[in-house]
Amino acid sequence: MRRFRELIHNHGTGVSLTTLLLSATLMLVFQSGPTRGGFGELGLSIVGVAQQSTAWVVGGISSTIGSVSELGNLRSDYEVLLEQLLEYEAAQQDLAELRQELQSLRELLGFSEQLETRNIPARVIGKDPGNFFSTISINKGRRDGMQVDLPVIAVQDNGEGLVGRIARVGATSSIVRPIFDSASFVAARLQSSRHEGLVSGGGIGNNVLLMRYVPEGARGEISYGDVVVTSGMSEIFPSGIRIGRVRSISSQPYETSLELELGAVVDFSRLEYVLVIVPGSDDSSEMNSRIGNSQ
Amino acid sequence: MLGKIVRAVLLASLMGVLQTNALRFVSPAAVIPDLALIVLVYFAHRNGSFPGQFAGFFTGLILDFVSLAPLGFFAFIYTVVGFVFGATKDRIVLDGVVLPFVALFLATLVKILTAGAISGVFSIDTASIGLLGARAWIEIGLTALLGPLAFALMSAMGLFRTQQRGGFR
Repeated sequence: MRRFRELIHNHGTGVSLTTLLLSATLMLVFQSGPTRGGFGELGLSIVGVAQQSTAWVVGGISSTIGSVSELGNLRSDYEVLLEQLLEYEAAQQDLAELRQELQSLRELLGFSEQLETRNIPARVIGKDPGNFFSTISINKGRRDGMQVDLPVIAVQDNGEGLVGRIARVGATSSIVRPIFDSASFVAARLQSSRHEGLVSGGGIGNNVLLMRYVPEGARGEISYGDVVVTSGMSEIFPSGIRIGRVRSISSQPYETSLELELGAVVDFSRLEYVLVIVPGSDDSSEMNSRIGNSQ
Repeated sequence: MLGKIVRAVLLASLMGVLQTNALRFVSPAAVIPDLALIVLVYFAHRNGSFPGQFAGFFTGLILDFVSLAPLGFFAFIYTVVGFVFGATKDRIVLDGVVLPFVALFLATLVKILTAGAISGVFSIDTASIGLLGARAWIEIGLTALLGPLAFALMSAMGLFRTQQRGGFR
C-alpha cells in the first residue's frame, strides 16, 4: 500500500495518463457492447441540450441577418408566387380527378403493398465537432419516437431524397449517419432499368456515392443521369426513395459487375430540415385487411 | 485545481458544441478549425500535464457524445494533446504570434496523427485521416491561424491564470 502511495506521489502524472488512456482504450474496445448504448445515450441527452441551445442562438442570429437581405427579394417573389398559385389552382382540379382515377385503378389491381408511413419533421442542429466524421445532429430524440435505424429523408427542389438513417438516439436529439458516410450502405436499384446494386458513401468532403455490384450486362441499359432509388431489399429503407443520379460508369476487366458513381439527390450543404420515416405498421395492416376483405 | 479543470472542460466543450453549428456557416470547404483544441492547449500550457490530460479526457468524451465517433476516440486524442502540451509549462512561453501559431500547428498535427493511429488499430472509418488530405491541412492551417488571436484573448481575459511565484524585492 505504501509503495502504491509512493508510486502515485512520485509519478502521479504518468499514472493518471496511463489510467485515462486505458479508460479511453477500453471504451473503444467495448464500443459496440451493451454498456455503450446507455452511457452514450445519457451523454448525448445531456450534451444535446447544450447543442440545441447554441443552435437556437446561432439560428436566431443568422435568420436575423438573413431576413434583412431577404426583404428586398420579397416583393418580386410575391408576384411570382401569385402567378404560380393561379397555375396550381388550375392544376389542382386536374389532380383531384387523377387521384380518383388512380385510387380506382389501385383497387382494381389489388395493390396491397402500398407503404403507409408516418414521418416526423426535424431540424438539423449541428454537424460533426471535428473533421473526421460525417455526423448530422437533429432536434428530435427518443421522446419524439426516434429509434436507431429509422430512415431519414429530405425534401429539396420539390422532390424527396434519402439523407441517411438514425445512428444514435438521445432524449431530445439524435445523430444521423448520412448516406455519404463511408460506413453507410443502402440496397438500391436503377429506377428505369430496375437493376440492383449496393450504394456506399464516399466520405465527408467527397459528396459522391458509389453503386457497386450492378451486373456487367446492364451497361447498355444505363445512361448518365439515370435515377437510383432504394430497392426496399433491406429492412431499414422503404423502396422508391431517390438516392442519386448516375454520373459515371466504370468496370474493371477482371470484375463481373459495374461500378456507378452517383451524385446525391440531396444537397447536404444546404440541409436544414429532414423527415424521419416511422413505419406505420398499424395503418398498413388495417389497409391490407380492408383490401383483403373487399376482395 | 479541480475547479480549473471543470472550467476548462466547460469552455472547451462549449467551443466544441459551437463547432457543430456556428462554425459550419463560415468555414471554407466544410472544414472547421478546432476551437476546443485551442482552449485545451492554452489551459494545458498554463497549468501543466496533470490537469491538462484530465481536461483533455473529459473534453474529448463530451465531443464523442455529439459525434459519430466511437466513445473514447476524441477522449484518447485530447488526453494525449493535454499531456504533451502541458509539458511546455515553465519551459516555453507561448506569447506573441509565432509560438502560439507553431504550438497549434503541432497540436493539430498530433491530433490528426493520433486519430490516424487509433483508426488504424481499431479499424474505424474516418473521413479525412491522412496528412496528404487537403482537408487535414486546411484544418491545421485554420486552427494555427486562430491560435495567436485566441491565446491573446484568453490571456487578456485572465483565463486559467496560474499563481505566479514571488520574485526578489
